[in-house]
Amino acid sequence: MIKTIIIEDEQPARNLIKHYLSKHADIELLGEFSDGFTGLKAIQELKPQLVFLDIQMPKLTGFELLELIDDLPHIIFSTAYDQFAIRAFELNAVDYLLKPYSQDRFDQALQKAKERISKEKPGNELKKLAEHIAENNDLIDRLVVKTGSKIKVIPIDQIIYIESQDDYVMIYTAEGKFLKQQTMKYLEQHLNPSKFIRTHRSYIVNIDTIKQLELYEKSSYLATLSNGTKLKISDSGYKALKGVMKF
Amino acid sequence: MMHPIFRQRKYILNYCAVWFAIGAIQTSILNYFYGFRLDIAFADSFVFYSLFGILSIGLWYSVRQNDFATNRVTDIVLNHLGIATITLTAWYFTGYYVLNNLIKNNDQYLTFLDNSLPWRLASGLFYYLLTILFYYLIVSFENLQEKTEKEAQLNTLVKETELNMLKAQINPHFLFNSLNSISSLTITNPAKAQEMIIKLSEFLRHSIGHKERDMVPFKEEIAQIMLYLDIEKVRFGERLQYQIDIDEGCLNFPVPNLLLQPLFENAIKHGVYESIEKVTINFTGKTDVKGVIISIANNFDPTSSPRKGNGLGIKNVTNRLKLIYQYDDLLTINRTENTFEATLLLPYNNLNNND
Repeated sequence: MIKTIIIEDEQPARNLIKHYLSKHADIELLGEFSDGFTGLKAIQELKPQLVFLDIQMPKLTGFELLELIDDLPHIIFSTAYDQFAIRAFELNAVDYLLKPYSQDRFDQALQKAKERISKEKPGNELKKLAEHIAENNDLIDRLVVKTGSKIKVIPIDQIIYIESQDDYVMIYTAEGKFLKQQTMKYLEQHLNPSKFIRTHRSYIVNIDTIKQLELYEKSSYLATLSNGTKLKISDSGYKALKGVMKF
Repeated sequence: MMHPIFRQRKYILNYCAVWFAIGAIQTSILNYFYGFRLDIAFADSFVFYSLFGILSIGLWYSVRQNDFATNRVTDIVLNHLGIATITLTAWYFTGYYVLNNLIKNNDQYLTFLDNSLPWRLASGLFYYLLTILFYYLIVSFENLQEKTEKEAQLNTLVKETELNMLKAQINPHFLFNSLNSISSLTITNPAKAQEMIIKLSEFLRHSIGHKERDMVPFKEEIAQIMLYLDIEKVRFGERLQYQIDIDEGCLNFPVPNLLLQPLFENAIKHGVYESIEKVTINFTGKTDVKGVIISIANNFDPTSSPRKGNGLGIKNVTNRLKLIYQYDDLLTINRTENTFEATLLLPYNNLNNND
């Protein structure tokens, strides 16, 4: 039996998946969830092997939800948006079903999932791939982080600065700091480049929070941010700041 | 371009009248100051000015050839000097020949005629310049008219194109999600599936079929919005609620076709998409002193992301209102912690006719 859940915000769409699944005796449906938060919790607690996942959902999108999971189940996306297909396959998704789809098309996707599950490929290779989805992606307007058992959605304009910490980044806001598994390179590419500047190998700064720049030692500069933090600025960082802030 | 004199009968008459008047003045001068008999004075003036009147009709074509847009000024001056020389020579000698043969027994006049070359050429040159000046004025006036006409045409064209672009484009995701809901309903509730297919068809028929219409009675726009909300309600169930309160008095008021659609799409996108709680859309329309005031308001989940749309919907509505009513402040947005309201004023007057 394959442990399966559905994460989808529209009742009729869930009904259809359930109906298509009912033709398969080897599927054990553990539950259905109608938004990103409850879906995330369900994946963590129920540990399904297979997830039918919508992308556009309240609270967390399907992609944001996946970013927060360590042990990824096998994913079949089910959506009306064709523009996310490339991203989905980069995430090593089993399949990408475009609504509306037939029982045949659904069965085909399910067959692929069964093959993968029988080989029991570790789903985690998705995670690494997720780090590399870069160039073809738009700017992001929020970041999602886990703090203990809670999920926090941080709008990017609330970010003061981001500090690199090996494989992780520390995100500083007025409310506090949040650790996230993400690379500086990814953030540098996906945060609005007229707002967020890599001022140093270890920092990305929201320029709106810069209160003051002062000369530090002979040739380098120090930025004072809205929360009082002082950060060193590298030569190339200074040039980038100068370009964007036009001083 | 047709010769301006021949465009209307009254222009021909006016043209003749002008030359006749000039001829009459000369007749009286010849009669009064030079003492010629009235019939001789008239014959002289009539022959010379009717000749000039006929010759100067042809000058129109020389003016058309020598326009300032494609010729150098020196060329134009030289050309006119040449044409003037030929015209005036032909004019003087034809006139001289005719009168010399017409009036044979008046020595006093014939001597006068023989000696008249210098002042006739001088006055001829003056009339020549006057005539071409008149023609040049007509040409430039007509060019100006043509230009403004073309500009106006271009403006209408641009406006039409813009309007077509701005008219609600059917959102493909709405369509595919609705079709998916129908697919599901065919299994769980075939009667409802049928109902939804009919609603979706009606919605599409109106959206696709009536794009060429610019203004529709408000009640038609309301019916279209109701279809849209009903279809979305099947998808979102309890999450989507709506209340409609429209004054009877504005049901027949003409509103731009499909104007409100993007605002409802926004309410669904930013309200219902992002919330797990109920989202209520309040749709009101009331008559006011200045016009009809339409308001579309919805609550949204303040804790959900600040996910920004591209603002295209609101921009489209603003642009369309501006194109139609020539005002750019007819749409106002009012945002609070957890509500969003778009208010439109559709003025009674200043309706620009786009049909």
